[in-house]
Amino acid sequence: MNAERYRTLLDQLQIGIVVHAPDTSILYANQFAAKLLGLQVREMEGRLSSDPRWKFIDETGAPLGLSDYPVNRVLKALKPSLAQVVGIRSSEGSRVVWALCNAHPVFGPHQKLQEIVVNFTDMTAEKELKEKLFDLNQLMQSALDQSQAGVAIADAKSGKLRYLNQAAFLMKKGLAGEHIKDIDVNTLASAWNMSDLKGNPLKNDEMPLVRAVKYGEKSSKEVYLKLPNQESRVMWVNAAPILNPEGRVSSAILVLLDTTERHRLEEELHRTQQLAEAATIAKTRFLDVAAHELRTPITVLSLLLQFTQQQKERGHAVEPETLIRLRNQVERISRLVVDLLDVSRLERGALPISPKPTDLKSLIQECVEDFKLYSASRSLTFQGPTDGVQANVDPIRIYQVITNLLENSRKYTPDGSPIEVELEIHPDLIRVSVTDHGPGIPDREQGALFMPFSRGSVELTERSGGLGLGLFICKRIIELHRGRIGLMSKLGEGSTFYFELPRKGAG
Amino acid sequence: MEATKKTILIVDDEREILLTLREFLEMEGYRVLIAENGFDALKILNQGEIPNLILLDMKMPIMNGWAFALEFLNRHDHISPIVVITAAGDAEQRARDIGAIGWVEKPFDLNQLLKKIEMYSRKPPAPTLPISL
Repeated sequence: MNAERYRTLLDQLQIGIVVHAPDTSILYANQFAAKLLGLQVREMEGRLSSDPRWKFIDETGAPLGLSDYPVNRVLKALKPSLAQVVGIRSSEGSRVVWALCNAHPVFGPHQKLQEIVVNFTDMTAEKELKEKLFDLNQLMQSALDQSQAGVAIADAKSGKLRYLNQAAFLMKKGLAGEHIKDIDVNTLASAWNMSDLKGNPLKNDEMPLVRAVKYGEKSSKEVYLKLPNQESRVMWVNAAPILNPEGRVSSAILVLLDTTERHRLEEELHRTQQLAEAATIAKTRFLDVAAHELRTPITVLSLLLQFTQQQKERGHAVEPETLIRLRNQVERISRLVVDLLDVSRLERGALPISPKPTDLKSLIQECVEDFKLYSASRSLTFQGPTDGVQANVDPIRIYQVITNLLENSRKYTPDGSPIEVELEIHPDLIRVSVTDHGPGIPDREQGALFMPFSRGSVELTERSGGLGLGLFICKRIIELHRGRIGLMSKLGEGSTFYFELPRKGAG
Repeated sequence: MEATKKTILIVDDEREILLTLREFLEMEGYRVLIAENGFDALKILNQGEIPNLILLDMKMPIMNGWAFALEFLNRHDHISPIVVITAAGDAEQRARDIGAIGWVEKPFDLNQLLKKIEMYSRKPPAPTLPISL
């Protein structure tokens, strides 16, 4: 083939070829080279590398130093200069064409440098793509690093990590100093201290990321994760395989979401709902009990009145005893109604307390004497200091509390068993206690005693002769005096109900 | 004369109800037995009493109306008809629960109670039928 034919062939190539003489002047350039450099072939021939019209830049965008021109590198080292990326700025300066350059020396006889051949390919598109990918990668990583969710990406083939974001990194224990790309998913799974919601430690094979890498399986589960600071969190662990264009698992991604707060709220909501339901049920039952308790004295009242009427019709005189019986029933009804009103006012926070300087000792003695009038069969003793005990309390309400405690002791202990009332003075508080020697109260029942409608929760088939409001009312009255009510009881030995009032001021 | 009197057993934990009803029914010519709970009522029946009618309250301490009815039906050869007296709103259901012949809701009219007692106590006590509960 002649030279002309070679030229034609070389001009067909999509590779730029430039042949320099040892003085760097261009001996030959093919069409592609000229096009890449934005010149005509004939404009190129004869030019030196030092020609000021070349506008080469390096990868950072800075002008390429003359000594770094591929041809000059070869001239200096007398060996090939390979894979150099050079930017060629267009004459108007705005567009940059990127070329991947390889330059080789060609030696003649006696190792004399004859020519330098530079070939280059256009890599503008690749470079732009690479930059875009790099940007995208940076963007993704910074986004993931900002995320509160933990993210890990593992290579399916090696089983090693490709990426771990900050959140995920902070959740694990150990592995300090190891390069992320050297950690495999099993090691990572162990470094995360995870257990299932029953508290059993999670086996590596149960870990979604391991399953995604190993079996190409998409899975998720909720686990407890113990942070390096020992704090336990609830995590939603979600992993999925990432497929390559051929449909093979190339990698796997894991996302860890902290759902502790959501869990807490859900549980709280659940508890609140349960409480509300229980309260509704208790109130309904209470209404049943209240209706029943009110109907009993009303029935007696109605019976007595009807009976009296019938006796009168038959010419019998009304006995004074009957009138007392009638009055007792009316008093019984009014006591129930007063209790109901008190509870209603307590629930609204509207029970009035009018504290005034009161001698507690006299007040208790009054309660004891009044109680003895109605329960002559009971031995009731009072023990207290010799002098009066001044306190700022609502005497009517405190009388109500003591009477209620005495009533309970009478009601729930065998007839004839003694009851003791005691008044004690302590440095900060005054303590009043009522002790009985009845059967005692089981521990599990003690807590509910002071709650409203507690009687409503016992079987409706058992009559208890009250609304179960007494102790709740007592508790609230004592609390309104900034005091405290309590109970100590031992099965088979008896119970002591007590309340304590602060010594300085109340109400 | 004494022998022809019908016997009514009243079981109620409310003493005032027991006393008033006893006075009233005695005035009306009945022989009246009273018990404050199911257990005391069984004690009376175990002594061989066969009342013409039992007026039974349901909610009572120690032994309630349900437990009493079950024991009574299981242990006694002759059953007396039972009329349930209750303050609960579902008297009819309660009467049905224990196989009672009738029911009275508290509070009640004495004359109406008397009519029911007359009506239900007319029949002589029947032998116990096997029941399954």
